[in-house]
Amino acid sequence: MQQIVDGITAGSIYGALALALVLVYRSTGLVNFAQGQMAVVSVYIGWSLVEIGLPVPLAVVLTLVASLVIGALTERLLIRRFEGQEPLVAIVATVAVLICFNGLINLIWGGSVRAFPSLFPDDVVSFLGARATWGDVGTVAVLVGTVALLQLFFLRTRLGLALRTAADNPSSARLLGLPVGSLLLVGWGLAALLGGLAGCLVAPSVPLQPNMMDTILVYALAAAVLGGLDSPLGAVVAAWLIGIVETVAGANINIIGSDLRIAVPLVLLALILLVRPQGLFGRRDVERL
Amino acid sequence: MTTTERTPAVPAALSARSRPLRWVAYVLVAVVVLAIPQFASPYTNLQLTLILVYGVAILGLDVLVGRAGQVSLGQSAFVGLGAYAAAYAFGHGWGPVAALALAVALAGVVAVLVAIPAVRLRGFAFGIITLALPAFAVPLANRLVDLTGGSQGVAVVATTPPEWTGQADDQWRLYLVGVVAAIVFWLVHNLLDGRLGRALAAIRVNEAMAAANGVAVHRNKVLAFTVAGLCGGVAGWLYLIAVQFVSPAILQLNLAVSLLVALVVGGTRSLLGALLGAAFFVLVPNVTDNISPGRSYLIFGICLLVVLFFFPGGLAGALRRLLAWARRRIGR
Amino acid sequence: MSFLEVAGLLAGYGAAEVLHGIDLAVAEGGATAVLGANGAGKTTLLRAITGEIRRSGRIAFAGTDITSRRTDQIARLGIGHVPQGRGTLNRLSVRDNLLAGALLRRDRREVKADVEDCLRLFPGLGERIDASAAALSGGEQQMLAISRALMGRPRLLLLDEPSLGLAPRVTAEVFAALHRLRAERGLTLLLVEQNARIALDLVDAAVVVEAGRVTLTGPAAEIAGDDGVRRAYLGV
Repeated sequence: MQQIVDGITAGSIYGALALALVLVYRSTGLVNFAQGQMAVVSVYIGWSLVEIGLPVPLAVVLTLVASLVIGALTERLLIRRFEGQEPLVAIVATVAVLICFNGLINLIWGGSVRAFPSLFPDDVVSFLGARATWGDVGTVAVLVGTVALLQLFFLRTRLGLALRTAADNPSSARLLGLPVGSLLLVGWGLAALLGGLAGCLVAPSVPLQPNMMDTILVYALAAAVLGGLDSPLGAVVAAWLIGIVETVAGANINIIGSDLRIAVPLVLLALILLVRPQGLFGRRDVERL
Repeated sequence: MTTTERTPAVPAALSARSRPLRWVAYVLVAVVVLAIPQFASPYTNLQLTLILVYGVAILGLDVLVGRAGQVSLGQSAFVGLGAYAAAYAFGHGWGPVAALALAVALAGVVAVLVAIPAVRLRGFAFGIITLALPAFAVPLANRLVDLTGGSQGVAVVATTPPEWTGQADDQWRLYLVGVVAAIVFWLVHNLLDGRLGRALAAIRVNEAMAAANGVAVHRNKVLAFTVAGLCGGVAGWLYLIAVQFVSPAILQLNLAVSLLVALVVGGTRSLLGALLGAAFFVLVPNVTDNISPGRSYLIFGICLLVVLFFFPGGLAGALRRLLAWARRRIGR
Repeated sequence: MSFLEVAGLLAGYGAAEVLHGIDLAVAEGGATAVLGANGAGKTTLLRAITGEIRRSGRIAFAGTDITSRRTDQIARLGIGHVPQGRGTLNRLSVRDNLLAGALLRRDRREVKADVEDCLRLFPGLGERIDASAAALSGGEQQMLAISRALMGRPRLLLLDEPSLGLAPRVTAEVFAALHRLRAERGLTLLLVEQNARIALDLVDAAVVVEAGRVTLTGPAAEIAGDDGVRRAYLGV
């Protein structure tokens, strides 16, 4: 049971970043390999804010705002150029952004490890025979809340519909009078905000360093794809699944040590995709020739 | 309504005159290329060798990614597999040809086994699955210490220059790698010139349409993946020849991503592009390191963005446009 | 001053010039058909009007010069464009497609009423209102695309080959709806069609385009009576 709880906690972190990936994919049709690194930038900004004396909750809020801006600017200045081209070039562009952000972090803050304070009290809570910190509970709660908000946003609001329209068919969207460029900007901004949120949630429990999100990104990618790449709910469910399987397998199967743990979700992904190529919650793409 | 961009036609008179001119140019280039290792430092020769090594790996990746349009993040696993196979062979006294055969065979088998189920996936799903290859390979290499030397890696003496050539180690390796690389490039070029190339192009543009037109999509994608894997295996063998050492670092996801980036930077669907991309990948980090060690990564990223921004079609595409521009001016 | 005025329009793709100086005018409440063979430049004409490709010359809509405006700006001025191939939002439901057409409107109750109107115009859509647009037949998608454009309450509707790929009976249905739209709402139409017969039946005036130039223009009856047109496009 403890393992399941741990798995859900770990999965929630992957899920938060996976949500960001899904959001970018839904609004621009790209997979943003730089999502993790952008989240790390946000976390460092948060760290700096705390260092200069701001209370943690305020720092986190400001960090989220900063993430929004960074995401929007990245889309407008760096990614916009590549949106019409083949997906391969756009993906490589996101890798270039990843490298630049990594370099930027090293330049501004240096590569030494730091500590990020937690939003939640440190006490441990017990239930159902398992133990978890308030931080873990908070993480899961925030994630669930975020997914609910996102679903509501996309399915019930006009901006959500506008984003979906622009993502589905940008030229049709323009013919309907939608400012597609601005919508893409918003999509990336929101995704970066989610990434920043993921960063703030994971930062207290992981050493703060420029590469902290690298493995999490791989898990998040797997979760997003497993969930169907355009389903926020799917991404989160998949992330929890991955977290649980990884934790349980890592604890119980001896040959899987800490280095092979990453292989577990990927195997899971492979198996599920073989049976259901569109992912757990994805929709089959019907193409009319 | 479709229109295609027409490149300006070279005036007939010019092309007839330039034919012997072009052959002279080729011979000159060949002579220069063969002569370079004699005068260059061992370090330079090593750089050139590495460019050829990665060029082969990128060429293979191009078949799958550039031509068939499937994003793959697993090429480094094949390179590493080839290198380790070669290391095993050399370490047990096999000759270079046998080592190459082992590297290629292993890489090919793994490629086919992975490809057959994997190509049923589309787009990003396929890409994430290929990511599993390096993800598995690195821990595996670390653990199978007897075979792979674990995290320390394995050093072998792969080849030594025969006495009668009078060449130094680095020169001999450059020539050897160069010859094998040239053969691989020639083979792949011929392969792509025929039905496979056309089938892959159809698949890249629109899979459903290709299938409707009778292209065996599944089989061709497996073929493309296998060619990529085989080239990766050869590149691994070449790597071992060049560096005489292999460790799990070569299997890493970082390298797979870097090869993909290098492919785009050099230019997809272009043999020259594979080499230019490899050159970028090998040389630019050294340059940025010299400019400023602390900022090296950032500068590299900026260089990448600059190339992507200003040279759609990669460096090869830019070169082609430059040559076309030059030809137009000469033609005037 | 015509509602839609096109003068000396040049347009093309990349280095290729497709339109070599088109002149065209549509009166408010009127309907004009653009006829011509494949590749004549008809679709290019519509795309040039809505700013999707590079163009020069003069295009004016209700007095406003739109020659260098962006597509979404032009759409916001009240020009609806049903593109060739329908352009439906395939991953969205029929309902969402319709609502997407009305995203820029602020009058929620009117939007709901308009959805009802569209469903009355095309009853088949009502049954599939929650289905994904990708699952619709070609004819249903065409009806959806037209409805979606109507949801924005356009003052001018551009239609690109509505009959393309549709069975004759479905085409008749679509055009019957277009007749109703003209009669009930006084909608101004610019219609590109290869099916000259059914187009000339709907419109007041017609223009024949060949190789990027206007070769014939006049009232529909006159064009329908022209010998050249009858041979080339009406199969007489």
